[in-house]
Amino acid sequence: MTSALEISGLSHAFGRTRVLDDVSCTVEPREIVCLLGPSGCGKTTLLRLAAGLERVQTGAIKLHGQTVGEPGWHVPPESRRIGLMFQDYALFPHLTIAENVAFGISGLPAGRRRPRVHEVLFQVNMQAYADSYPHMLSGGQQQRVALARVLAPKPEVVLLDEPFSGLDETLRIQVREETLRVLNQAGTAVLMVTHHPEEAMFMSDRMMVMGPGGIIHQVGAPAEVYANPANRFVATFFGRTNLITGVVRNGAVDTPLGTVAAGDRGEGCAVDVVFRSNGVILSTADEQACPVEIVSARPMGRDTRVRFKLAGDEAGATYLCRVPGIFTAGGSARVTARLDPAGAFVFHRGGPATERTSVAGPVRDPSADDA
Amino acid sequence: MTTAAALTQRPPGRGFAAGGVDGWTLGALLAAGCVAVPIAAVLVLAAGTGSDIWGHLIDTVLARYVGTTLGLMAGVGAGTLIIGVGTAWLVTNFRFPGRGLFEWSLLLPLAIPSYVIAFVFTDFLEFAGPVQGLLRELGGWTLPRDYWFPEIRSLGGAIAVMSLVLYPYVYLLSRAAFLEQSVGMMEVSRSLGRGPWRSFLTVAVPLARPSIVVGVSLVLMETLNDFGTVDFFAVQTLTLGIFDVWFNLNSVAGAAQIAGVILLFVMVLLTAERFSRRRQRYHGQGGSVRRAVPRRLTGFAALLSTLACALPLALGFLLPVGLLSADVVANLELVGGRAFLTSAGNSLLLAAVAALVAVLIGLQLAYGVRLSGNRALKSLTRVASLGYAIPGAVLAVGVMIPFGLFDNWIDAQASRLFGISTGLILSGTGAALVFAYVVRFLALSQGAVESGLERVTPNIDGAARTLGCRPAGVLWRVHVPLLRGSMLTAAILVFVDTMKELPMTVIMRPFNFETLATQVHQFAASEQFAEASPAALAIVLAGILPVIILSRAMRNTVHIDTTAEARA
Repeated sequence: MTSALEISGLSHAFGRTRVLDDVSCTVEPREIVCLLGPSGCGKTTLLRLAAGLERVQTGAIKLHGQTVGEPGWHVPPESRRIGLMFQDYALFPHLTIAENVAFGISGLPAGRRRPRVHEVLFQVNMQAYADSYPHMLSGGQQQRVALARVLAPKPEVVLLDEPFSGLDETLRIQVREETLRVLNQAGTAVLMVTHHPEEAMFMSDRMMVMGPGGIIHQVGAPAEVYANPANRFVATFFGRTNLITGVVRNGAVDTPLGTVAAGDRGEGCAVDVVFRSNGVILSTADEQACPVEIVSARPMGRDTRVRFKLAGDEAGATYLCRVPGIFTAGGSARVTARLDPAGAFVFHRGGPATERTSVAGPVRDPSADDA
Repeated sequence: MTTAAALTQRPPGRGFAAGGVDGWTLGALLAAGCVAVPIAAVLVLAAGTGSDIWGHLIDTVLARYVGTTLGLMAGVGAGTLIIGVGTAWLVTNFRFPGRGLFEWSLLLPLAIPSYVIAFVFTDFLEFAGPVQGLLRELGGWTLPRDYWFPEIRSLGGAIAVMSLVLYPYVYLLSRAAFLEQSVGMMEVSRSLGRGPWRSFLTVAVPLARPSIVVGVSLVLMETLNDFGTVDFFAVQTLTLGIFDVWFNLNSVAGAAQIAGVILLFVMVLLTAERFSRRRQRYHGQGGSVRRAVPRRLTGFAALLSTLACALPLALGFLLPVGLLSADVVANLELVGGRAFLTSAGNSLLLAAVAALVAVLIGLQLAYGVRLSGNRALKSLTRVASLGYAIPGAVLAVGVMIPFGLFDNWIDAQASRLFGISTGLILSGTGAALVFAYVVRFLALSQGAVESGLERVTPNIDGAARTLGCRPAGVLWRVHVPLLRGSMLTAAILVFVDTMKELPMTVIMRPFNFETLATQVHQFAASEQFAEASPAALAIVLAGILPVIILSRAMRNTVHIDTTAEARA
C-alpha cells in the first residue's frame, strides 16, 4: 500500500535562511504523525509545502504515490484534497459556522451537503452553533469548527498546525482528547506540527523531532524516542536535563552519581552524560550512593522539584531532580543520589547535534513542562 | 506536461508547471499597463525638450510656485489632519449630544467641490457681501480702510476652504481604523499609567497611522490638483502655473514640465505613504476585535465635543449649502428644467460607470499583487496609481495624445486596406472620458481595496485554497464579501470625485456634452455666482446621496457586529 503522504529530500529556504534541510518522511493511511520541534524551526513551512501553498524548491512531495510538488511541477492546493488546519484557525469571519464547514463541499448538491455539515458538526459536538458566527465562539469552539471544516470534504491527508496552541492549559488537555477521537473516527492520515512534546506523545503513532534549520533529528514511536533519544537535542526537548561530562573506560562512564553503560562508544571517548530530572533517584536509605546536599525543594503538586549538589562541592554545579509526591527528607537526613540508567543517556561530546542544541539555547520554558 | 496525464485518474488531478506567469498576473499586468500609458505620456512630455520655456520658468516664477504650493499643502495637511482625526476619535470613543448625527453627517462636505465652496464664501465674505455689510452697519464704517477684515482671496483663505471640504477623507479612513482597534490596546496603555490624551496620541493614533497617512496623502494629492480654488483666490501654485503656461503661453510642453515638478512632490508623498504602510502592516482578526463601549461625556466636555464636530460640519457644508440654496431660491427662474436634467443625467452616468470600472480594476490589481507578489506587477500598479496625483488637465493631454495616435493609425490602416476612413474612434467619446476618470481615480479605489485586503490574514486565503477554491473563487467567495465595506468606500470616493471633476471634463467631453461641473465652471469663472448656483447645488445634492448611503452602510455593519456580540 502506498503512503498517504510521502515527502522526500525536501529542502527549503527563504532568501538566505534555511528552514528545511533534506527532510524525508511518510504518513501512512490512518496514521497520525507528529512533527515536534521548537518554534520557528520550519515546521509550518513543511505543512504549507505539503498543502501546496508554497512551491517546492528541492525534493518531492507525493500524495498516494502521485507527485504533487517538485521543482518545476506544482499541483495547486485546491486540487490536492489535503486539509490544512491553521494555527489561528482562519475561520471566515463573514460566514456562519455551518457555512464555514460547508465551504469545502460547495460542489455537492444541497441534499448531500447539509447532512454532511450536520454530521461533522455533530462529530465535534458543535451542531448547536451552526448559525453562529466565528467571533461569537470561544477559542476551544473555534478550534472544533476549524477541525470540522477541514474534515468535511473527507480529505486524504489532514495537516494540523499547532492545533492546540491557542488554548489554555486545562482546555488543551480536554480538546486534544476530543481531537484524537474525531481524527481516529475520520480515519484519515494526519501530519501534525507542535512544539509541545507531551502533546506530540499523546497524539502520535509516530513522531519526528526537528531542530533549528529544519533538520530531522529522530523518527520513531513516541515511547522509543522518549526512551532512546538520538542525541542531546532530542533528550533535552522532553524536559529539563542535567549534564555531566566524562570519558569512556571499559565500556562505561564513571560519574559521581554512578556508572552508566556507554553503549558502542569507544574506549577513551569524551562523552556527555545527560540525565533527565526524573533520571536520578534521591534516597535516605541507599548508603552506597553519592552523598548530596539539598539546595532547594519546591513542591509542585504531583512531584517536588529538588535542586541538589554533590556533598562538599561548595562551588560545584547544581542538579535538578523531580521526586514524586512531597519531598520531606531535606535538611536533617543524609541524602544520597544515584542515576537511574533508564533516564540517563551517553552522547559523543561536541557532536553536531549537541552543537545545535547549544545554538538553540534554552529550548523551552522549563517551568512549563515540569508542571 | 507529461506528468499531467499521469495525474488525471486520482484526486491530485490538476497541476501546472511552476514558475510561469498565471492568468491573474497577466490580466493585472495588462490593466495596469493600460492605465500607465497616459502617465507615461505625461512623463515623456515633461522630459521632452523643444521649448526654452523651462529655463525661463526657473528664472522667473518657479520658486514662487513651489513655495506657495508647499505652504498650501502644509496648511491643508495640518487642517485636515486635526479636523479629520479629532472628529473621528470623538465619534468613535465618546457619547455626547449629536454624536449619532455627526457620525455620518461629518462626511457631507465630501459632496462639495472646493471650487464651489470657494465661490460661495467669496460671494459671502467680499466687500459687497452680507457679512461685511452687517459689520459696516454695526460699526458705522463705510470704506474698506475704515476697518480690518481677513481677505478670503488669499493663501490662508484657500487653506481654510480646502481643509473644510477635504477633511472627510481623513475622517473616513481614521474612523474605520479606530473602529477596528481593540479596546484592549487603550486599556493596556491606561493601566501602564498613560492618561487618555497621551494614550490617544501614543497608542490609538500610531495604530491607525496607515489609514491616517492614506487619508492625508489623498488630501494632499487633491490639494495639488486643485485648480478652481487657487484660480479664484489667485494663489500662485504649481497647478495654477500649468494653466498660466498652457493657456497664456500656449505651451503644452511647458505645462507638462511644471506637472513634472508636481510629480516630484507626489513621489515624495507616495513614498512616505507606502513606506509607512509597509512598516506597519498588521493583520486584524476579522470580527473578533473587542470594541470599547463609547464613554458618555457630560457638561463642558460634552459641549466642547459637540462644538468641535458641529463647526466643520457647519462651515464645510451647512453654511455653503444654505447660501447656495438661498441663491437658487432667489433666482428660481434660472433653473432651466431640461438642460439641468440632461447635464445631471450625464454626470450621474459618467460617475457611476467610472466608479464601477475603477473598483473592478482596483480589485483586480490589488488581488493580483497579493496572489503573485510579482515584482513587475507591483511596480506597474504603483505607476498606475500615480494618476490620482497628476493634475486633471495634464492627464487629459496624456490620454488624448496616445488616443489620437491610435485613432490616426487605425484610420490610416483602414484607408490603406479597405479604402474607408474610420475617423476618430476613441478621441472625444464618453469612453475616453471614463478611461481618463479611471486613470485619475484608480489610486482611490485601489488604495481602499488594498488596505482592506491587507487586513485579511493570508491564512484565510490558504484555508480557502486547501478547501478546494481556485484563486478566482477565493476572491469571489471570501474577499469580495469581506471587502464589501472597502469596495463600497472605494466606489463612493470615485463616484463623488468624478462628479466634481472639472478640468478633464472640460477638455475631453464629447462635443455638446454638458455636465453639471462644466456648467458651474462657465458661470463661476465669469463671477456670475447666482447663475452658477443651481448647477453647483445639483452637484452637491448628487454628491450627498452616495455619502448618506455610505454612512448608513458603515453604521449597519457596526450594528450587526454589536448585536451579534450581545447575543453571544
